[in-house]
Amino acid sequence: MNPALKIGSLVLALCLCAVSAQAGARPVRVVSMNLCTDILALELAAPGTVKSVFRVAADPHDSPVADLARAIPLNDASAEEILSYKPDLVLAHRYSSPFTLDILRRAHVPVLQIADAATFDDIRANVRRIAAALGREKEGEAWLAAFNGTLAKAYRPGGTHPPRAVIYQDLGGAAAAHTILGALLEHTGFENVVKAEASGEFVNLTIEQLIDLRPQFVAIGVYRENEPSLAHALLDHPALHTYIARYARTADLPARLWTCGTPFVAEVAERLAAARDAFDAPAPPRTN
Amino acid sequence: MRAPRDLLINLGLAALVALLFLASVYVGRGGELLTGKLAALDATDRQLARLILEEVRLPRALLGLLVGGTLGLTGAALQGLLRNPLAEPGLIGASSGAALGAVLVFYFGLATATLVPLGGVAGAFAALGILYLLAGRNPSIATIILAGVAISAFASALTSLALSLAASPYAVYEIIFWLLGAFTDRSMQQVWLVLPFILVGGVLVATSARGLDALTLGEDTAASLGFNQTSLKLRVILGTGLAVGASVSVTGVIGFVGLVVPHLMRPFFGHEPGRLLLPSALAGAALVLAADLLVRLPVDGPEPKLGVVTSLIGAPFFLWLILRTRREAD
Amino acid sequence: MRLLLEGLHASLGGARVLRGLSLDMAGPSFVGLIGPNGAGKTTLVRAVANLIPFEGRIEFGGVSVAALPPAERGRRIAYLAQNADSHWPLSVERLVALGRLPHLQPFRAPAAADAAAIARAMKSADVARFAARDVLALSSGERARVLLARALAVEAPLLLVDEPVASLDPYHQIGVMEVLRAYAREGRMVVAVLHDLSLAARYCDRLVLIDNGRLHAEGTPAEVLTRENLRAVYRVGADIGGEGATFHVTPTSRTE
Repeated sequence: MNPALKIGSLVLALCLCAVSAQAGARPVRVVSMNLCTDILALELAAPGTVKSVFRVAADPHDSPVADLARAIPLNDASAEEILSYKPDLVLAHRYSSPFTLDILRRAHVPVLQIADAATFDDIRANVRRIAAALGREKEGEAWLAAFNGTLAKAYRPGGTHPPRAVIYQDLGGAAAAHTILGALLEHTGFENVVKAEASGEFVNLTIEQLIDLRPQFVAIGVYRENEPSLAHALLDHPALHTYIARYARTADLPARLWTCGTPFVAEVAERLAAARDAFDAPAPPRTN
Repeated sequence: MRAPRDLLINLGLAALVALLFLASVYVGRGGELLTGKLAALDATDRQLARLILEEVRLPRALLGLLVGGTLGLTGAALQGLLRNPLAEPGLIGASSGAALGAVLVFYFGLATATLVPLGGVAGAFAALGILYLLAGRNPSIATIILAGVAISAFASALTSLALSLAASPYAVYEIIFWLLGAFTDRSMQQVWLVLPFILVGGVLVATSARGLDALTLGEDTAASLGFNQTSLKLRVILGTGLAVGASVSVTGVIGFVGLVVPHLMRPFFGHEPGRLLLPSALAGAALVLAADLLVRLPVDGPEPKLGVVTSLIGAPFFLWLILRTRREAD
Repeated sequence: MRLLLEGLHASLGGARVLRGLSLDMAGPSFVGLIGPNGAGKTTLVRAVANLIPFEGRIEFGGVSVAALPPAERGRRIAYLAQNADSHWPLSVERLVALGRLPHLQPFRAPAAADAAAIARAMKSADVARFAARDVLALSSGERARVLLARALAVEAPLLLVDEPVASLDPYHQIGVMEVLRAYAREGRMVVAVLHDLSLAARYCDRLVLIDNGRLHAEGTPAEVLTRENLRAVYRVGADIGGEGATFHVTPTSRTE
């Protein structure tokens, strides 16, 4: 086939996408190929318009909307599967396979890619983008209002000596300040002991480093608690156990609430706020 | 002369490749047939079926053919050139270089369906350039192997570094999955991108057949038979680098095919390197197409990665081969 | 048919091995190239085969060997390396067939002439009996004859062989020398590097004695293998006797 012709058809496809987006027709055959967009799509879309979601969306360990996903066909994020739903909108992640996205674009399918949310504003922007693409702005604003309300209720001022806290998680590492978990710690009146401006979202902290930082609060991001992993084994380390038992409070934060930056992180804020309140209660934690 | 017998086996292999190619186009996830899909679609959807056929299945099958053929051909050629039955296309560092180049594109968040293969090709060229600088104009076989191993190790280390420093866990998963090797969702655009490199590389390697035969008797004798050793090495290594580098840059690393396929063909064709080139290319294509069909068979869950499957089949086979060789030696 | 060397200089790993060697030999002939270890025999044949860089002039049949296109040189000059061996377990016939590589046309199958040359070479070297056997499964004596057959199959007017009988028993030594002599009798030139002076004397038409990278003596065996030459070049005293087929040289003592 003639490459010039190919490029031509690609340009045409892009124009067509732009036109259909401007026309503002509500998509009725939405396919999502990534957990983070699955969650937003299932919460926001009109019933019956989401034709397929990524297979992980139906797993209650990973997905806060597993119950909603159960009735919907699951896909494996391959172009052929997605195309067979004849979608008029595909929701993808910034890191979805570029090859798959390329085929979808060539097939004149509008694709909306969203990036990871690192701040509450990122979450709001992602929700608004998806809501706009689905023609469900009202639902989007309603959801955000609830999100803002829960967040506001979970707000705790840090004060002069905020409790020193760390979020340690099952997949390895501690949450850095510029992540959604870091933002949640600050929002609920804790001081994140992980200061490093690492490029990654999680800073690899050895147990010795963790203890050296003297956190008063150790939140554990729990992911598939009963399945063995090296990262999980680290959380079972006797030193960490003893430290938490003697010197710190702890709380469990289920991974399904925070692996994707969605309004569901407000539930994490609630849990953290409850833990923060315990620090103001009269009896400090002691060894048992 | 055994020429008619060779021709017959080669034709048989070609028929097998054609059959697997058709199967690759017509069989989908869970063994579902495209004919069934076509029949189930009404007139408006025939366009969709054509789209899947032309933009998803066809490029995938074409890449299986091209990449499998490349791996088989270059594997046989390198085993002949280096006179070592353990040589494989990854040995000269071009595939590690291509993998690194592509991973860097992912790492810097620039991943598009064009930039990833271009990064891979650039990486393969960089690796070949360094090999040339390290090994010099007429390197000994040992120098080529040592320099290739060093470049591969260095490129792999940089790939691991990129992985450990990657910004997002999603980027890490994308890189890992890409490295495992797959043909899923590649399009004609990538086929056009790699085709010239694979063709030029393939021709460079294939036309070295007689020189590789002559190398059976060592470099001096081969030179005395009229084969310039410098140009022979340059042709085979440059050709392998171009073809394998381009393949890896589109499909990721697909292990064991280049190593195993020549061994599969030797019982039928003997050990002459030149004579093994065509059957190895055909058998490589057949093996990769078959493995790519195999990964589609599970109905549910993630598709197993092709590179993993070829290694899963290749490694035990190789062990069996070693055991058999040892038994024969005893 | 004339092999002409003029002012030949060549180095091996930085050390000068050939130092201005000149030689002029004509006609179909079986030439024995003799001299002590390190004299430059192997370097000389490798230079003639154009396998190493050299200074000076090497002409065969009136043409400079360095100026010949590689394939043409491959057709005119065959070379059998010292300790030659096969890296792959080919059948004897396939291995001998490699000698026809310089004659093949690009993208063409071997012609009938090639098959005939392969058959002749296998017959001369007496390996036709095990044509289908794996060459690596043969005894070293048999394998040496197969590798020799490969060099014969080129049917080049000049055949260079480097120590063809070094590791063979007397039966196979005599066999190889007879094959080489017969090949030369067909109107070609054979240059063989030899250490066994008696064998060289009995089979070769002419001997070339080199020492320290230069020509020391050239002529018939009786002219070259004198007590004086052996003392000067090999630093040995020797018992020389017999004539023709019984000519023998037996080194008896070292002289300093």
